[in-house]
Amino acid sequence: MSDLPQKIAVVSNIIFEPHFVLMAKRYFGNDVIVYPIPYCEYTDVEYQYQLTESDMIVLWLDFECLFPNFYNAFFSQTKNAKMVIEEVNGLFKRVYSDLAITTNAHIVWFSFEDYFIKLPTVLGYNYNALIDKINVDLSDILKDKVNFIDLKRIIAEVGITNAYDPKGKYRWNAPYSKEMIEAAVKEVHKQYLIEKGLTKKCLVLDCDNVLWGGILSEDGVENLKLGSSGFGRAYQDFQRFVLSLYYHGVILAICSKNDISDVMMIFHEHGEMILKEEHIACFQVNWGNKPDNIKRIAETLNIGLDSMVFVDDSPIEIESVKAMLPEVTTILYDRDTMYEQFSCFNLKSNTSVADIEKRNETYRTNQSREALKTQYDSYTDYINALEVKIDIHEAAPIEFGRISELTQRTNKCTNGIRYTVAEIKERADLEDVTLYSFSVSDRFSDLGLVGVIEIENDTLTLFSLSCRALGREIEIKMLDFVAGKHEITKIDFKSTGKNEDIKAVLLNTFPFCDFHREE
Amino acid sequence: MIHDDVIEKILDNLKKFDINIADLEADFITENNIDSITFIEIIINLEEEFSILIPEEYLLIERMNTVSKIAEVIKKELISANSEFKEIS
Repeated sequence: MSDLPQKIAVVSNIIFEPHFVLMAKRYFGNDVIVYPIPYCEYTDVEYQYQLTESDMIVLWLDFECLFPNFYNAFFSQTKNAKMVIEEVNGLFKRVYSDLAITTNAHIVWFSFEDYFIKLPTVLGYNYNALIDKINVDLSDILKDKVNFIDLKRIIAEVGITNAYDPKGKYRWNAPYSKEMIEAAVKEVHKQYLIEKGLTKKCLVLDCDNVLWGGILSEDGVENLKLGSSGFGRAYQDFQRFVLSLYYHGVILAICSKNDISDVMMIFHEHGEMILKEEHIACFQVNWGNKPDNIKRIAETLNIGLDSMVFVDDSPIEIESVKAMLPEVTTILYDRDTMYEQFSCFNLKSNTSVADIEKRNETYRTNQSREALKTQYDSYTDYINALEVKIDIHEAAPIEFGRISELTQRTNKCTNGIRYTVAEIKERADLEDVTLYSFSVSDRFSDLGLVGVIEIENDTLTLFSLSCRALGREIEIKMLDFVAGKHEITKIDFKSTGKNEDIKAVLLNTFPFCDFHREE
Repeated sequence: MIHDDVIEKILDNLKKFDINIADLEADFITENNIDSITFIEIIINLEEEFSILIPEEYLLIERMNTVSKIAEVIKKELISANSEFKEIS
């Protein structure tokens, strides 16, 4: 399994060449193969073959080509909006079901746009909601099935005057400019990273002049700039942005040179704070150096440094982290220009908030677990005192999303195999494959679904346990359970660069197994 | 075979698409099984190479399917571009 798609099929009723292939090579590597598939012929045998071959399918239908008389039919009142919407919906449902039968590949689907219409030059910019209504309906139909892309937003990015190529349109039905196609391919690449879960995981934030304006220890609480108007507004807006990242799965940590009591007071008592204590998984607030503190955060949260992003307003702090911890991505706080840099996060838009809150609670209660650990002499006593409960069952389809996320996010306690939701669905239908999900709770919190094991015949094909469940010997209990139920003789194993330790654990339970290494 | 600069450049450009020409009069589009998208790419490539715009009435596979036909169109365009230039200067 490679990290980049080998083959991309582009199903469309317009032409994107020669630009699409060149851009695709730039974003996806030189080896990528692009299959342009004409929309009216996608059911032909040759194209069906290309569709099944592809790792990713881009569906981009041009509204003007599909319904050239649409607007005049509407103006002459021979058709009303409802009729057209139903017609389009029917068409799209059919296309989707055709594709779903042919392939399990990730589908990126572009919405319609209406900026090609020349009428605003005479009618002015009166709002015409037709295309938006169609898009809203399509988005409902395709929700959870495909990645539905806002094409109008992409056009807005490049500008309407730069988006079109009238010469190309009338010469060979290629209506969009090179610039526009580049922006679209960039978005396809972004959707690919999101689907594959290739993202940074943790955001480490400085406080002074990042979360609020001013220096807490020098200016005092009363002089901090933070609020919905005036100089404090930018800081509050940044906190809102960070909170949105939290709701999409980013783990937040604080790394600040301050007294912890002062910072906690702001978090507890400042009425204008958008971020609250419960959103932060780990506080490292002290007068020590930042690289050491970031390392401590990584250890506490059990996260690799290469999954971390650090934001600070001081170029000196940024440079020190860059020098000492080159794996960490750094962003220098700059109110007006920094947001573009957050594109190192590639987050799914449909994350479950309950899961996120549960995860954050686990990280926070880990500190209580540490306290309990010091009360017991032996590790075994401590594990018993934790009252760990594991619920094991064959995975239900509702859990596939979480399982896919787990395989993609885990780097340490994993056999290195990663699945998309589509791949899990496909494998779940196979007769010889059994997929177990493991949910864990203990005295302090309910960790939720944190582990997964898949067995195919006598091979252990998937093993993944979230790093937040480590240190409770759950991995051993998981493997013991499987050893009791299945005769395992082979284990699929792929290095993530960080999962060597787990190999020893696997060997301990299955000493006579062959390791199949996929590199 | 009569070769000149224009034909040499066309042959070089076709090589980029793994198309090797033995006969300037042969229908290389059919012979090499070239699809419409590759045809478009070839035309765009030639337009960039010669800094010309091939008139739309020629943008049909049957009017551009041999090297001779392509060379003729390109030479015509080069001459008219040149005379326009002379008129301006």
